[in-house]
Amino acid sequence: MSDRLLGGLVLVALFVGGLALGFGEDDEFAPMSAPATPTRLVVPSLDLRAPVVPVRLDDDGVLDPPDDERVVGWWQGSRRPGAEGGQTVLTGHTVHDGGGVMDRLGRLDAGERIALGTEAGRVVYEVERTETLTKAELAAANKEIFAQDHGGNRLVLITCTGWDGQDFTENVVVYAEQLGLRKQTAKRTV
Amino acid sequence: MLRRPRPLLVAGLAALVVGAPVAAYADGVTSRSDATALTVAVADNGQDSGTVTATYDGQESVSGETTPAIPSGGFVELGVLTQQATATNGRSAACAGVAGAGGGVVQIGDGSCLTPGDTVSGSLTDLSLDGLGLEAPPTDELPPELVDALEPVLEGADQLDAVRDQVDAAIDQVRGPLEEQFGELGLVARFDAIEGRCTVDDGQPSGSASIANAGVVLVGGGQTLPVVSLPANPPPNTEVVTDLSDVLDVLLGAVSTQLQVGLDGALADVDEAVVAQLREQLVAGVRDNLEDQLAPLEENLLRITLNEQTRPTSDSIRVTALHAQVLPAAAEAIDAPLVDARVGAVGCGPADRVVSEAAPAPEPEAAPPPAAQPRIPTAVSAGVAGERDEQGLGLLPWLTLAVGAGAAGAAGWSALRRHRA
Repeated sequence: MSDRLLGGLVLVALFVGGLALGFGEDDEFAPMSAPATPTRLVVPSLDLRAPVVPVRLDDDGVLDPPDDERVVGWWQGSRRPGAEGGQTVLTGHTVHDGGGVMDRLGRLDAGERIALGTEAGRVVYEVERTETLTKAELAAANKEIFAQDHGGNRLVLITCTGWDGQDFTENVVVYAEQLGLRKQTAKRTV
Repeated sequence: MLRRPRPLLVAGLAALVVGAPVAAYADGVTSRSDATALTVAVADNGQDSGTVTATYDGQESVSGETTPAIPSGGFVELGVLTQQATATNGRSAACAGVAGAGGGVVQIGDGSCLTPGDTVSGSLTDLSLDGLGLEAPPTDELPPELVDALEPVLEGADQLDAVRDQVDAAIDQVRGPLEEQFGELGLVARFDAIEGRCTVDDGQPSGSASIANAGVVLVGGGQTLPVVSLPANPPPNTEVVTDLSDVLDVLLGAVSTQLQVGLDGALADVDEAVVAQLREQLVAGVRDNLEDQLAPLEENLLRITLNEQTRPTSDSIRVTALHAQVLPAAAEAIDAPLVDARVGAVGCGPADRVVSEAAPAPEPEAAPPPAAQPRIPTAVSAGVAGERDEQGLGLLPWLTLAVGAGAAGAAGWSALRRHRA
């Protein structure tokens, strides 16, 4: 029994250690010198690794993710990482019975890290907060979430939630502060 | 439609683009980009893939063919050409390039617009074995020290002609194995994909090029010898230097080996040291001839520039992923036409954010005009619902399995349509 317990502890240690390899506390970051288009989103704690493509608003002001449920959309009207101010807005699908790229976005907690792949390198963010808004609340708060005259080049991730059997009634919004370009000091998992 | 800027934005632009006009251009265009996948000019004849141009004057307008047909009559077989451009308020981007058969086109904006395909190759120049100097030097041109060495062996200079006959026979024996080893020799440029990209965002231009599996190789007799490997992500304005020393080494090694075998057989009766000296003499002649043939390339008269970048203005950029030129001196030396080829040429910017024309100062009492707000989302439609549960179709596979129609059930399951929430 004690052997099993020891084995379990080793597995847990390996697992936790493996996660720590993703983003070490001693990671060093450099400021971005120029804007760079996001091409890939990596959220280790959600096991989310997906390509990023640009998307636009439709005529009704609705932001639609890419058709492919495994691909993340970068709203072209938002800033690119490294731009002066503003915020980078990404959105991806939630599929209520699984398979959407952002199915588990609402599980992100403050302090967890997110990486955006760009031509300039991998830009790392730290989650500030996660909130859930009804559709009406999101419409009312759209300047705070989407406008580009504030934000300090933070990252905003949005998807749907609140499946009521027929429709999604809410949005999950994650705000993350940019830490900078991660310096290439060692091989990392993200 | 022109939108009124926020004061903060105007101040930011003024700081970034000192002295540049922030109002729309005369034609109303504030943002632009263009992309040309391929331009090849051979002598006076040029052909290109056309150009895609994007402009923004309140609305984006894109003209040109984004996946043009492959130009006919080229010296290489290309698989895919793509050239894409976009221009929006305050941002422009373009991407263009070529890939081999099987390559794919990706929507612009994700950092790339091409996926590599099969390798494309095109001959730069042929090397002739006949021109390598594989013939016996005239006896009266042999260096004095070699003649001095031969004379005591052959008991008199009058027998040197006999030696020459033996050398000729030996060289004939050498030429056959060399041709068998190398066949038709040629220097070949090859690549899987070449692509140039540029963007201007917030007045800051940037550009890059990516080159997949590209280089120059020596081919012949089924062999391939790398000569130059091109970097996958070259820094701006990378000049490619064609270092052909490896080619020389390989050819000279083969010639030397064959000469040793051939001469040792034909001149078995001649002193070994003399044969060695004669062999060295012949190899030196081959080296001279090879270097003459390769000189135009070795001296960089074939000019290849990767990720060629220019800045026409502080807020615009032009990028050409690969620019190859056969310069006039080289063209004359290798009897080739003048060639100027550009792959993946793009231009971005200027890309200003639209601001209103300078207007007279308002009357103090006048109320400020209502400021148009930037267009931002009011909703995010990011939910997708499977239909199977709510329509009771979750039991379908089990039911179909139960009646032994597994295949039909699987098809029905995979064909379930989804709808957006």
